[in-house]
Amino acid sequence: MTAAFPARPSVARPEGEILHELTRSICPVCRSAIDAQVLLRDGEVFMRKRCPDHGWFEGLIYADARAYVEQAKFNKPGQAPARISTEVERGCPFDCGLCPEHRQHTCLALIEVNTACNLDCPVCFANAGAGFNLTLAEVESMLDRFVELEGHPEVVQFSGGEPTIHPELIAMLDAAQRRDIRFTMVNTNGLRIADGGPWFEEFAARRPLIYLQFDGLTDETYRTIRGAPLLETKLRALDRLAEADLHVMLVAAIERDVNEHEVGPIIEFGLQHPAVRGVMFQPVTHTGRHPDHDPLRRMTIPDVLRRIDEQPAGTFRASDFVPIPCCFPTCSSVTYAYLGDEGEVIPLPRVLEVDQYLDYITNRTLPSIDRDVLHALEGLWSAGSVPGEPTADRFACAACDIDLPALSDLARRVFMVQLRDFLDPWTFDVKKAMKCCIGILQDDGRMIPFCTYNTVGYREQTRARLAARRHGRALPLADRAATMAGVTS
Amino acid sequence: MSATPPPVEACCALLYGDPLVELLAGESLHPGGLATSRRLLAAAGLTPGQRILDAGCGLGASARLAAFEFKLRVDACDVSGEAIRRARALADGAGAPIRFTAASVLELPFADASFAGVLVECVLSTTTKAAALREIRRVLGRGGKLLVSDVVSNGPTDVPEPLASVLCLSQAWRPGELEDEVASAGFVVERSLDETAGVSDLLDRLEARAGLLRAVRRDVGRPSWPSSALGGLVGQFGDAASLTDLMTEIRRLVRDGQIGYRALAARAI
Repeated sequence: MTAAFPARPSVARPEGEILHELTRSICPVCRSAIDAQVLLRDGEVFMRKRCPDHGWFEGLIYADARAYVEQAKFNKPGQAPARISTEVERGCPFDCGLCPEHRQHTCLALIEVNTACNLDCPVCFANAGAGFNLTLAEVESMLDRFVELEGHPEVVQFSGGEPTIHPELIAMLDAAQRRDIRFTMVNTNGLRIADGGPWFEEFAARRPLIYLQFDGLTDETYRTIRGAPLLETKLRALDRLAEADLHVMLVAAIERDVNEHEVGPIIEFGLQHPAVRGVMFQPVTHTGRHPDHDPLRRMTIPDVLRRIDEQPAGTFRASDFVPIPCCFPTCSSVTYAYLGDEGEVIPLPRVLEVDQYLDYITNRTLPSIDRDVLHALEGLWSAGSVPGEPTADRFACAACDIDLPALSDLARRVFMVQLRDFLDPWTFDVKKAMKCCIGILQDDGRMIPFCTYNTVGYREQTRARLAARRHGRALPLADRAATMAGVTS
Repeated sequence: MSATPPPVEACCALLYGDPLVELLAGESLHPGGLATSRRLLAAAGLTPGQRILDAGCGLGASARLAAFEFKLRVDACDVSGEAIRRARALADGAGAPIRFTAASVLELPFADASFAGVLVECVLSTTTKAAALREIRRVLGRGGKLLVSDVVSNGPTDVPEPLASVLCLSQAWRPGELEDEVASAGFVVERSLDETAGVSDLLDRLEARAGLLRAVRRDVGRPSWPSSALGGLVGQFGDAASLTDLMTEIRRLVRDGQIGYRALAARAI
């Protein structure tokens, strides 16, 4: 008799691998939603998934399995936005957004004002190039929508493309600052700033916070990541920003084998430069435009932390960083330090037990947690935290038993180092997307979580819609279903 | 009548009541902080509602942990009246129902077998060890849990006071001595935890807080150290270079295995 199910050779899986959890992701080829296994192996965390049409995919999520598992305790309960825009129809991640299933309000909203750029970088998650320019009227209505969705929003960031080449950027900054939005930020490559001139004077008078792309201190790095030797331009931009007394965060895209070794030097440079209030490290996201890469060897937050730890006489240590609890805790880590006149750099987590305060699972009833200190720390450990006086005030409050004064002078003395790892089509995880607190405002009134926008197909869809629109006539929300049909299947 | 505490216990008590030391070390003054206390309390396996004594409670951080997180009925005592006053204020502010008493661990004002557990962190090494253990055994019923954490050192160190007291180094246990004394006082060790990593954390915290305090006072033109009973001694924390040297030396001792931190959960027999 023949068995209906003949015995077959079993599937060989790597020895010692732990199936940590099952979640939902997308197929990197067709972008349809598929189950994904999160695996712990050799001290690292991987995602493995199978698309019925395109086979198996596997990528590195996080290069420290122990930290990945332990950081679950930093997952702060989400806070609902004031309003949402869509219904649940097809399930995450195809109902953005935000839909009723989203677990967090938006700490930081981006408006991509254009797709054009004055650089042509080999690495660009926004895949900048020909496309669209938003009109001032469109941006005004998106800002109104942000206020409507959030109530009293914290931060809007103008991005692109390259926002500084948009002819109406300054009017857009004015529009943002007229509204009930606490901070205005511009994400820029700094080229136009480096040129200075009357435009820069006008721009600087608005006093936006500057997110300056700054990938290293060698032209070699810029040639590889940005396609041009830009170091001198970046330094010139920074000096102009210092003269104008604007607050700058250096934003470094870190790619394996390219500029890993620049992590420490970028921090030390930032500590010395008068304009720089902080550094943000972002492992290169392999979505949009990027060179060939090995998903099993991508940079992750623990890799950047190791580079920080390896600095001989480095100022920061990996243990100074604590995950940001408002979004999914493994997506970002941050630390803040006091900079003394004699060169002291004193990270706040060495002064008080920040990790004990931000432990949302074991600790909620612990009375040694001072509510004011917790509130201050939650303000600092937020994706919407920006350099400047509010940050300094929160820092002072958190370290209040040290008798730190809340002085405007302190704003220059508080330095932020943040690490943020975005999801790509190999690592996309709906569990993280549902907790995301960085959103991209859309012309049709939606707010789409950042990584979902970049990986699932929303970016392409918006670009096609905006490129095709007649000036000033955006596609109304009701027509969304028709365009969403193109996202998967 | 209370016995005069031996000199180190008195010094340590003074230290714990000193706002400047609190400023430097934070509320949980022993190595390992609340994390070690939590592990010890978890190892005790006490059930909510059982009665525990935090002997040598300092500012009462562990007592509040026991009350809130482990839902125990908590008494706490410390030889320093000032520490008790501040601990009571902190507990009241947090709404923690803890009974505080100013008392030495050598003469506990409680009846025999009053408690299901006694927590004694970084305290025995500051006092007459055997006598303190006998007194703790007295207030524990049979089967009661002794939860002790303290510093173990291979030999005398050159660490000066008051840092030596903050780090429980003044009369640190010799290797094996803690286990032996606990056994002779009528206990069986059930769990033994190596909490040495906590020493480095406390060093980091002391160094960072002293550095921040010093830098802020200098940078914003605040007056120098507040006057305090230990101001002169603690002033050494304000000297960045000597503090760094001292910390480097202590870190070396920890790394070389000369200094360790041990936590035991033991059952009274």
